[in-house]
Amino acid sequence: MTDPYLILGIPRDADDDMVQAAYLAELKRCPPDREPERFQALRAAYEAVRTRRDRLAHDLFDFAPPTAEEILDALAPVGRPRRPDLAELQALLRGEP
Amino acid sequence: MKKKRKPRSVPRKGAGSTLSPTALADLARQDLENGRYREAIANYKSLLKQADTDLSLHTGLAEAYAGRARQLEAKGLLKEALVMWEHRQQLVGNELAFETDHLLLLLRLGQFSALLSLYLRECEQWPPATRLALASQLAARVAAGDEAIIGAIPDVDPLQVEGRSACAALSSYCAGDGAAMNAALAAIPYRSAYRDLVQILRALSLATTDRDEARARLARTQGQVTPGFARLHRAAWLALVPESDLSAGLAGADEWTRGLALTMRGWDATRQALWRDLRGSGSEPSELDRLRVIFRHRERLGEERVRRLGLRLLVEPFPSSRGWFAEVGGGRLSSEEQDLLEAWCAEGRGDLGEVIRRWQTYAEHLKRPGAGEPGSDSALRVALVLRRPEAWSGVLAGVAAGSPVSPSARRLAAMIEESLVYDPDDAESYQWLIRLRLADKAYKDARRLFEQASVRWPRDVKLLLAGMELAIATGAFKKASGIARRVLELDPINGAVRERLVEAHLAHARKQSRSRPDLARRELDAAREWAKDERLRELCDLVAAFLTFAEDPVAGRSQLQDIARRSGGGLRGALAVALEATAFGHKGIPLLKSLGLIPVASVHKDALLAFLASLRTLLDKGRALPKDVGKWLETALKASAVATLSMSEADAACETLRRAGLDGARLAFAKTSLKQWRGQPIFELHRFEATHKGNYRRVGHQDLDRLGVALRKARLDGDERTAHRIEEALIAAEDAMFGPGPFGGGPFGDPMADLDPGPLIRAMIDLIGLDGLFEVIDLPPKERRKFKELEREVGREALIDALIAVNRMDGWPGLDKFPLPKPLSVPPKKPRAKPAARKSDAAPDDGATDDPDKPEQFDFFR
Repeated sequence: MTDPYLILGIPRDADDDMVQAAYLAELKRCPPDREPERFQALRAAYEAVRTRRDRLAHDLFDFAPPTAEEILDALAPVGRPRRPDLAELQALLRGEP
Repeated sequence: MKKKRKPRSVPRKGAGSTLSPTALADLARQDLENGRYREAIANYKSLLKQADTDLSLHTGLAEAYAGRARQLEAKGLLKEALVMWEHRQQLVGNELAFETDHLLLLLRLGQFSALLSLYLRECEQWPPATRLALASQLAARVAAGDEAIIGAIPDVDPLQVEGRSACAALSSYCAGDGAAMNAALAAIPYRSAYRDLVQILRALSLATTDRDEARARLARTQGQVTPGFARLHRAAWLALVPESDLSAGLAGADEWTRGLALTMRGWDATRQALWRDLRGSGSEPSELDRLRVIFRHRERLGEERVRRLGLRLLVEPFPSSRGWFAEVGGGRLSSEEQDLLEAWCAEGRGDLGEVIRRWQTYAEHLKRPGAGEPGSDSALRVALVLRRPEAWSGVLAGVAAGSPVSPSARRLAAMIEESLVYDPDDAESYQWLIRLRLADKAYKDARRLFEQASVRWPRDVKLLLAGMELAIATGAFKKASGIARRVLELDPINGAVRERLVEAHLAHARKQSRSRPDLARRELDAAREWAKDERLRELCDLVAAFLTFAEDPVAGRSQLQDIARRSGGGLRGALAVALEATAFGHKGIPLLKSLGLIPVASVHKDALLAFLASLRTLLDKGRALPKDVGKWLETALKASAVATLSMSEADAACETLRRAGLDGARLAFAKTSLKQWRGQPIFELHRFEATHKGNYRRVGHQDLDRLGVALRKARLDGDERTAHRIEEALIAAEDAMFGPGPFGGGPFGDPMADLDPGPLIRAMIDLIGLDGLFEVIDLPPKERRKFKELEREVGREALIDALIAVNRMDGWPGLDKFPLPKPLSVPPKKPRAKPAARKSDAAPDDGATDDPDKPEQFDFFR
């Protein structure tokens, strides 16, 4: 995932406060000592969209081609991980399809 | 054309009837050994009709049935294979043990009931691996709630007893009841057929709290998972793998496993469908395929976002991607979009001139009516675009005070200045502009900018430092001190500010020493106020001693001798006094001699290292060691080469002496080091370079051979840096000895000497752009315009011809030296002298020599 908005889980019209709040919340959820890779991605995302100036600059000057994952994230973001239904698990154990 | 078909092998009819029983038995055995199972079956059957009590015939027929079953299964004829296995089991009333392949075939065919009855009846006779594999398959069916299986297993069978706990654990996991799940799992023994399910559920229950531990638990069972739970294990693994490994893992998984894993990761059905659309083939889709997908979903993403994402996909394949928007139903690119795309592409190509031009063009689109309102998004966009070329290139950020300013830097500065109209709230822009004005010595303008900026950002340290430099440059030391105090209030440990200020005060004191000694003393006192570390205090003492010397030579001499003694009395003290004497404008060496200062060799390691550190500090500040001082020190330095140094210290010593141009001393150190570390490549290089001092015309073959050996040794040692340096020295020596060419010569001449320069100039233009080429050849702006007009009028090819003609004139004079627009055929003129600024670019020790006979290196763009 490379889109800073998706990494921080904020809308594209988020303001400075919203960006900071999202960053701090994510930091709390994934502390740097437990998930260093995730922290690096978070930090880079935060730096990219921290202020209005940064957000406008990101929009104007980021021309890296969007990857398939980025497009997926833009169209259907990943939701919260969930436990499967019992029926789904049983179907897999039965060897379906 | 008809396909040639392989003739079908048929059993040899009647063979049995014509052969004796012994011969027929031999034939059947041969058929069996050679994999002709159908023939073997027929022959054994014939023999059994004659002697059906012969056990060996029964065994042979059983082997033939098994072989034939495996053959049929390999061909995908599963039911036919099962018939063969059943024939085998019916021989002599089920006395034969079941083969594992037979059982696995039952599994493949989903005949769990048959398998179960076999399992319950005969599992004790099966090999442990077969038994475990089949038990896990049955266990998985039980856990999946297969009523037919559950009903058929006796109540006391472990499969049934542990199955109840497994089902309960599964339901509790899905319901999120961790305690109930753990309780149910605790009832399953370690050696159970459900043991993999236990591990998988325990790992999955940790997925949200401790993903690493969850993955570690799954990894422990990887490769030993029983077949019944293999798919669940894989799904769990995919649900837990890091994002970066997911794509590769999903590519090999079946749809059901993938679906379950992705569901557990939080992927909804839409995302899963899109994934199949984009990554179903396994590889990253092409730019055009990605563009198609985003345009198909333009309603969901919004038109503006789709177009911006889409533009980014056009960059790499541009210009061939120019028509893609129309191809995917996005219409034509607007001129604004095209210009943005061109600006992005220009950055990719790396041509500063083009980058500046493209972003300027794009900025014009943004300067709409209303965009001039500072503070608005649209105004900020204009400002950002105008600052982009500087942010991208860092040209202004690298401008140093007093250095020449390139035309590109001026264009960038003009853009930055314009950007401040749209967004005056950017401290960095002010810093860039002040730096440029300082380099230009446009102090009035720089002061105006600093005053404007310091009102807005009174506590910006970088800006204050720029202001301090400006104050020092204009001799406003009081102001500089005031700014330095403000900096130190904000950043109390900023040692560089103190140092800069002390040096500025001392420089002023030296200047005042002849005309206004009283003012010089005041400056010295001001410097002392700021000098906190030992080095700076020592410097102040030296200046004080020289001031005293100017007023009272006897007292001054005594002070200077005292300082030299305090600083070790060796080379370091001598260097400090000599440098200060030069700074005061004294003829250094006669003065030093009159003071009775004689440099003494520093054979003690610490004293020598302290001297070298002082010398390095001087060189790091961009200052050179005065020639006479160097000469004065060199004898003592040579004598210091006997000091005991480690290899890295000896190398650092040689390197510092190289930078200082003290080749005699460097040679002494290199020779001493070579005695200690025989053949060490880096010291061979120092010895070679210090011996010949850049004049390689009379290098002996022995020296070259020795350096060649050092090169091989450096390569063998993996010391690429030294190897590269030795190579450079060898090439320089070869060029000097055999005559250089435009691209490096050698004993056999320059292979590129006869090449047409046209393609090379064209390649240069392609690589760095026309503006880049003009920068390289330092063409004045007026002449650049003429070249550009020429290109517009007669095209790129004529321009290249003109450039070639100019090159042939052995220099790059202005256009007025040849007729335009036709290519020139004028006789070569006297080469133009190199501009002074470019001469100064060359390092003093980069092989330059004063030798008037040195063969001249042909400089293509001179």
